[in-house]
Amino acid sequence: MQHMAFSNAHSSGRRLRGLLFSRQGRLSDNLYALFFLAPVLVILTIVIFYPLVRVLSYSVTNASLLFPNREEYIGLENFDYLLNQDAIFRTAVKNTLVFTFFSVMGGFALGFALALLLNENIPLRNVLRGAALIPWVIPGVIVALMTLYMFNGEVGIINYTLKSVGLIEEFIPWFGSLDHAMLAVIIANIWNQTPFYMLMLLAGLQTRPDELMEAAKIDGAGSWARFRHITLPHLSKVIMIITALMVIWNFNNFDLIWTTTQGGPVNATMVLSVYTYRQAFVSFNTGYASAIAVLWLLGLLAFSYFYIRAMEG
Amino acid sequence: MLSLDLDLDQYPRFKRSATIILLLLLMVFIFFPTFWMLSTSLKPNEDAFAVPPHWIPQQVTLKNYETQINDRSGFRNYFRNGVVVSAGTALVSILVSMPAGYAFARLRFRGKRTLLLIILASQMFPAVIIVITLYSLYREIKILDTYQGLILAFTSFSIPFSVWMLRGFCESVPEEIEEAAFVDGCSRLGILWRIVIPLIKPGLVAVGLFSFLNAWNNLLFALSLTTRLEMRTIPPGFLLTYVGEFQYKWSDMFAGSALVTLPTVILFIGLQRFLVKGLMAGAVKG
Repeated sequence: MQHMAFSNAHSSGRRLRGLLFSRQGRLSDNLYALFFLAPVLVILTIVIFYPLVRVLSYSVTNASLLFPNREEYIGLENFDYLLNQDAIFRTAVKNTLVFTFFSVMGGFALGFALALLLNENIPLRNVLRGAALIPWVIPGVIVALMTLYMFNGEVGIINYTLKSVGLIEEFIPWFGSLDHAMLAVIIANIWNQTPFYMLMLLAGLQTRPDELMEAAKIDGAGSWARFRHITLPHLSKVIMIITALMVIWNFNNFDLIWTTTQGGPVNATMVLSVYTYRQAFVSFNTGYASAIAVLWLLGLLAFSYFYIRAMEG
Repeated sequence: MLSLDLDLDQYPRFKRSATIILLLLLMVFIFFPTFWMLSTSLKPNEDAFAVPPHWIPQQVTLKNYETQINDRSGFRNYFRNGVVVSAGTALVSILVSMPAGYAFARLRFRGKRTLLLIILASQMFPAVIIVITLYSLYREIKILDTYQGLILAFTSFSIPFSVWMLRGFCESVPEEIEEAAFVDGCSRLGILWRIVIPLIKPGLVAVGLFSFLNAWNNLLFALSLTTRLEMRTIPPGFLLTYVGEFQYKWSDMFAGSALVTLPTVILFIGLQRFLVKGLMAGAVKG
């Protein structure tokens, strides 16, 4: 026993030297890696990991921005209130799911259609592929300002168009209406994100083997069969990755909803990010906002876990 | 079922017209809002309220653009802050991500896979969660309302993608060149500086542009980590100027919007080629 411990200590000294220097006496890869990675790790620790740890510890306190450094431990009180009494939290979770689901579905469907069409041999194909990215490049706040104008209840072009083609009788006060506000932000969001799906799916389509398509055609497979049995399986990995990414991003979406409605009218568009921000920076309840954050992180973890399992399975 | 499934390639004229009609519809959806923004920015503000709307401005004016460019405390201030902070973010992102990307591509060290996963996973955390306590931290170390503080925060959001992309670029540098230099007595640092960097310049440009755009467009951090009007970048500046006003100044708003979107569109068109290349290079070794 003792002997082993001694030899371990001995070899660990040698191992340390091995870690730092290579056989030629140069600095080893381990030491260089430390130098090379240090700046990135320091920045991520300050801006992301340390605040995350702090969120965990704040979640069991009544911390408030108004009274810094005077937080008290209150156990699971925040969580108890959140899960059992906070109706707005429940609304926010529901709204976030609705917003995310329809945004991803809509963006994916339109982006996929666009990718398939722009993969055909049509005039101006490359120009259109580039220009179609514009909605995705416009800053989120400006997308939101455009949305405010186009969906405006009195002067908005959308109301005008819908009315002139006879789809509506009266102008809809989109952002003043409990039934329409969410629809308006989802449409704007789909518009903003469609190009991303297009870009990724187009890249995937370009690696689809032509021989397979030709062979299937000779065997008499119709367009739908070829799409179903060649194109879709070929794209399945890209599809899994982009939908996972977009589910997470849309779950986090803040810019569009904060700028257009701030969660209103009467919480009709209240999503988790806006509710958390309100708790933290409007009501100054840092502790309570942190508790929301912790539940959110748990949800994110569960989602990632099941998604990764689904991808591997 | 099967009998209904036609081979569209046997009806080329039908296929072509269907493709073009569908494409036209989607293109209206994609391009109309941007067209409408530009059109409104060229109208006198009263015309922005016209019902029925004028699809093409009846009288074209550049007055709204002039108003913005001459607005010292508003637009120009936000624009300048945006340029400083975004350029700073681009620079810092390049400087810190380059050695890290190289390390992941070439060096053999302990915990490599885990570290890479940690760096990549950091971009998945919701920004609003981080900003709850980042604000307090910034207040304690007194970097609220500073360029450094904003650059630090924005850089952290560019790092995962930048490291990933530069790792891909570094992997595409032929290893034999590096080995030859190594045999000639060149140190790791020397190899990075004299051999790798000149070969991965497109990657550095891509990382710089990507980081610039990220910082330029960011609302949440710019809004939360600045309290003084003079420090606002464009997104929070626009938010505070235009949203919640009693009467919207649509034309001014869209002239300003066009002015701040233009750089992003130009940068992105330049970037697109590199981005796709970067994604591909990053994906080669999974």
